[in-house]
Amino acid sequence: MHMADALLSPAAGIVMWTASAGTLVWAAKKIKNETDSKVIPLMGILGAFVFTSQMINFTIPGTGSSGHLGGGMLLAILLGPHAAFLSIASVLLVQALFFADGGLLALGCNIFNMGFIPCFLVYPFIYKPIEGNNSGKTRAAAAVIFSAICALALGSLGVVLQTAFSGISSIPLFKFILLMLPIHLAIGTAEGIITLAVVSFLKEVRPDLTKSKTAADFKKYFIIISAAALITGGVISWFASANPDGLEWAIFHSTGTEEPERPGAYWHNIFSALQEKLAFMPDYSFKTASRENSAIQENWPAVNPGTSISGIIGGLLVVLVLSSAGIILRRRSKRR
Amino acid sequence: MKNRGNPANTVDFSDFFAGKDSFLHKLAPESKLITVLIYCAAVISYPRYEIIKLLPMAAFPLFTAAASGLPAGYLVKNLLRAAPFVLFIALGNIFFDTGTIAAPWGGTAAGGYLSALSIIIKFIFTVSASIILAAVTGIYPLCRAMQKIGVPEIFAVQILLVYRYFFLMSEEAGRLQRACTQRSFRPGLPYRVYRSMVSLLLLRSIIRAENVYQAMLSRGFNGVIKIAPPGRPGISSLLYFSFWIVFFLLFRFTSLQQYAGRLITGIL
Repeated sequence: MHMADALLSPAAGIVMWTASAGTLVWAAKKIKNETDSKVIPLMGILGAFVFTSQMINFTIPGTGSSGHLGGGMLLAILLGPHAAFLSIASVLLVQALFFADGGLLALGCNIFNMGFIPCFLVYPFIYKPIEGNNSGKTRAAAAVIFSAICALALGSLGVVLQTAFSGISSIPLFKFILLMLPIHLAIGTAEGIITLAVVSFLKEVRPDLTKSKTAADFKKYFIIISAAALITGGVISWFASANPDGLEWAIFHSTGTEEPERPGAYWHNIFSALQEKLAFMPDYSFKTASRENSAIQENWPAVNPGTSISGIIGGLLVVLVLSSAGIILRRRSKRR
Repeated sequence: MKNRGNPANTVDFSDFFAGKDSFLHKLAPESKLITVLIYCAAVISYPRYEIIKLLPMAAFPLFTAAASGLPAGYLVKNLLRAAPFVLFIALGNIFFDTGTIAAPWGGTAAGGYLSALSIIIKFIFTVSASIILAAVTGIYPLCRAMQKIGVPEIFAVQILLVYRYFFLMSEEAGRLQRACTQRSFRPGLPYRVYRSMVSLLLLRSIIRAENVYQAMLSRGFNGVIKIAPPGRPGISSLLYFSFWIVFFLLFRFTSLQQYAGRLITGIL
């Protein structure tokens, strides 16, 4: 599940970028200084494998749908956390640039959800303790399956929280979690079974590749990166609260406390009726903030239709002029 | 190759298109990359109900698409592939965003529809900008640009390796799947077959990685792959970058859009 730019607020995007970029620099440094150079092509090719394997789907009996490998945990098990993190991050960047999966600003979130979580949270804190040293087959299998489920579930939780903190989506947090978590628990189970099958196969044919990787000194790093993310988040939210968003600012400065008259009740009624018909729970009251937000929206001043028309025409004019400029430039390039 | 169309074709086309010659292709990759990053930040910074003010921001992807000659079908295909999750969230807003706000036509409208529309517009703008950037720049110049702005070299090399080997691996995956389809009487791939297929693909990938490593060693690889740094950006790249940054700032923070509109309505 890729997070998208359109669902992010700049503050959430910057915080996640800071966390992911910091981890990336640290992991790159670790690989450069401490890892055998043999791992460099292996990281790239296994990244390409994960990407490619997503083209092959198996049929899920009785559902009419199909599934494929996600690959985050598989890479962490085969490459170790640092190399796997870099490999996953590079796959996500290629996906963002060439396949429209996620986006450049949401890359920080996606690297965190699909790279940081399996490599630096699930691998050391869940996979390694369950797997143990010289563990039996059942324990090793349980480690793979359970960690794949945790990685997927935590990743989806990451998407939900990042969306909720961004404030772009209006889906109540609890309902969003209830919707996403069961689906991802099921996907995680399938992912765990496939990962286990692939890891078991490799253990038989290439036992050297599935040897336990050294645990990272992640604890110290985890504290540093969490602190960095929190400080960045704190600083940004401090600025954000000093400069409220445009809507709140405009309401405060244009209406004060008086409720403006609302013309066009006809349209309002039509939309409200339509929305009430469509809404699952038209009278939900999950959090106070939503109510306050609704109150703000109710107070939204009647905009001058003339101003709106100027805005639309102005916008179209700009778009038209620059698109024409683009076409002219293209024709000139062709002529040469 | 069911759920992703054929990604290898996308990469193939993107590689082919990056080799073309247009005004945009010639610009310095770092100017294009930073411009797109700032553009995306500007687009997502608009409040959730802001639709009209977002309108001028369409100029950037439209200009770059027009100037590069990128086929609309390629853009639309990629947008549709990435759309489901964003559409789901947008749909959620229609159900859960129960506020009302003033509509441009003078009445009031359900906020849910506007915030949903805003999500979809932001998605189209930001994703289009990224896809056009990749298509007019190509992977190698993009990696050079990333390195120039501080991305670790080893990560840039990883991106190049993933991108390059994706071609070879996808051909291999395609061959495996074709072989299986030709020997099967039922559509779809049973899990048992899938398991062996993916495991074999992984084993082949590892063997390939080992061969690649041997080849790299024989060519003097010492743990570092050097990516040639990009040259200094020319005057056209600086002008392109400056123009768009000023444009984003002006239209994000001033009422220039209104003035431009009034100019036309005044004439009419």
